[in-house]
Amino acid sequence: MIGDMPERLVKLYASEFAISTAIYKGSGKRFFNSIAEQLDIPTTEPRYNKDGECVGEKAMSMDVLKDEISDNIGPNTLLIFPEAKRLTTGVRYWLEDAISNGVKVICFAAANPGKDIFLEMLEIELELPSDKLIRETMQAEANRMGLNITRSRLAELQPLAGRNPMLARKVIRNERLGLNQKASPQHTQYVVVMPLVIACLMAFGVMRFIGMGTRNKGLYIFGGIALISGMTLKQVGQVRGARKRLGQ
Amino acid sequence: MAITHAVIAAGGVSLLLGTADPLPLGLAVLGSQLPDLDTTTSVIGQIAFPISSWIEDRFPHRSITHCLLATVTLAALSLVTGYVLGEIKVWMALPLAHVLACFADCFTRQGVQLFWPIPVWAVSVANPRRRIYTGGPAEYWVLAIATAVLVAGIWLAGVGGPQAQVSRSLGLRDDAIATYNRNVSTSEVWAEITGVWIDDRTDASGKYLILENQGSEFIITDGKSIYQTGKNIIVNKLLTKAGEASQRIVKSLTLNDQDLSPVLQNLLSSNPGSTIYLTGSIAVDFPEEIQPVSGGRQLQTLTVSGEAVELNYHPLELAIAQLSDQWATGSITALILQ
Repeated sequence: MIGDMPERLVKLYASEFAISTAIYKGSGKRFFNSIAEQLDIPTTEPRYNKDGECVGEKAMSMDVLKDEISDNIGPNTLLIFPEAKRLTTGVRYWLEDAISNGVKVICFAAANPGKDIFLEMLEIELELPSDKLIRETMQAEANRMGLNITRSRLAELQPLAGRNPMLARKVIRNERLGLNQKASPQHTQYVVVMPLVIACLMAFGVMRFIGMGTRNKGLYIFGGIALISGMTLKQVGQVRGARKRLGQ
Repeated sequence: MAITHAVIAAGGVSLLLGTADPLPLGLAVLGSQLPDLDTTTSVIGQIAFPISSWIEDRFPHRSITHCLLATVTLAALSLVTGYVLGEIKVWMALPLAHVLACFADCFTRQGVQLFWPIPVWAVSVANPRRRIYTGGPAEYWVLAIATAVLVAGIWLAGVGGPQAQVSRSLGLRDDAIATYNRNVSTSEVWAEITGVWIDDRTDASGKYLILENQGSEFIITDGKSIYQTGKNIIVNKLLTKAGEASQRIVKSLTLNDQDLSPVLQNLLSSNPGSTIYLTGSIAVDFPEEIQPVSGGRQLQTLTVSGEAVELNYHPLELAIAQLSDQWATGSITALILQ
């Protein structure tokens, strides 16, 4: 879980590095401005009139800002990006040069995008948050929304959230609207056990061979019938309707 | 729903353990409810409130009590209890029901943490829309099917289990022999035969008393004559069923140039009301006086070759009539059906 880890990293390495942490929120210029301001890098440049006289200051363009930051960062700079998956191609390519100049970069993401700069970075997978933390998150969200929810109901709703705090909060919001009765889990912490069912069915295949080897016709026939019946039921279970809804 | 779990587990246990006894089925019902010990809203959770409340406060629903680790723990406890009480198979119903209930929950939308403490939810299929939700219409279908399985399981347990029933339905000889071996010492065993006479291929279907099993064939009688399946009757299907209680005694007689009449009369008088068949080989002084019953469809139960007389399930009354005044040497085995 990422949680407050970026803030804690900032505190931890504040004495060793010049640190900047930024989240891309749609505007590249604001993103680079934020980085520059945290590193005490100027974000403005002199404005000149027609005669070449300085008449004030103007905000740097994004390209100029990028170059300015690049000129002022080095091995003693640490850049932290809590939502690294949002970083645009342009930002990532700029970071590529920064990394090659010795800048330390820490990216946090729910999943490794597995391309350009992410391929070069060392990957550390964080542990899932504990059940206790998810429960506390749900309780806190319920308190925030003024929703009175029992411990029993929290335990029932927790499987819908898995170990994802964002889903934990969403489940509580859904509960407030009464949407959890037929809700499906949205987390991806699941494993499909149908192969186990098929493996269990194969026991009847083993039974069939035992019957064949020991000339026990009853075992042979029963094993065969049970195996085929089970496989048939599995096929019947795969009957499906439309995969898409109207408009999809 | 608790009742769905109970019926699924009881049906599964009756099929897998081949039992219709109340104790294992009761343990199955109990074992099926144990997973829901993690919520205070369940029946078992309300009964064991302090435990369910403690679990509920610490773990998500369908995690610690729905896992294979819990099944293994239950199995260990059941094994010890079963060993102490001398009923291991019966007590295995408890963990079996637990794992069936947990596995059934894999087919619900939320799934279960089958591999707890690994925090993954075991589900039947990846698409949650293809899984059922608790209390929905699909659960009533599951309940109806599970009830049918339970009824079938109880019925099958009464007739020897699914495999035996398949063998019986198909009229397999293995099952017929097994049924014969299982019952012959305490009761009559009857053969319901579907087949034709070997001589003219007319219908020979009917109910015959089995005298003996020889290899994969039977020596049978309809009360009048003796027949052998495969030799006198071509059998298409043969089902064996236990009849009335009966005692079966096998007695050996050794003859050393003795008059047969008193020996056979003594055998008859010492077993009043019994049906007796003789099998063996003897040598007689006047073989030309013996008139074997020949022809017809029945098994040749008496054959004469020189001085040697071979008896093969020959009825005692007939032997007394045919072998009177004969002096014989050899040995005879008498099959006495009381």
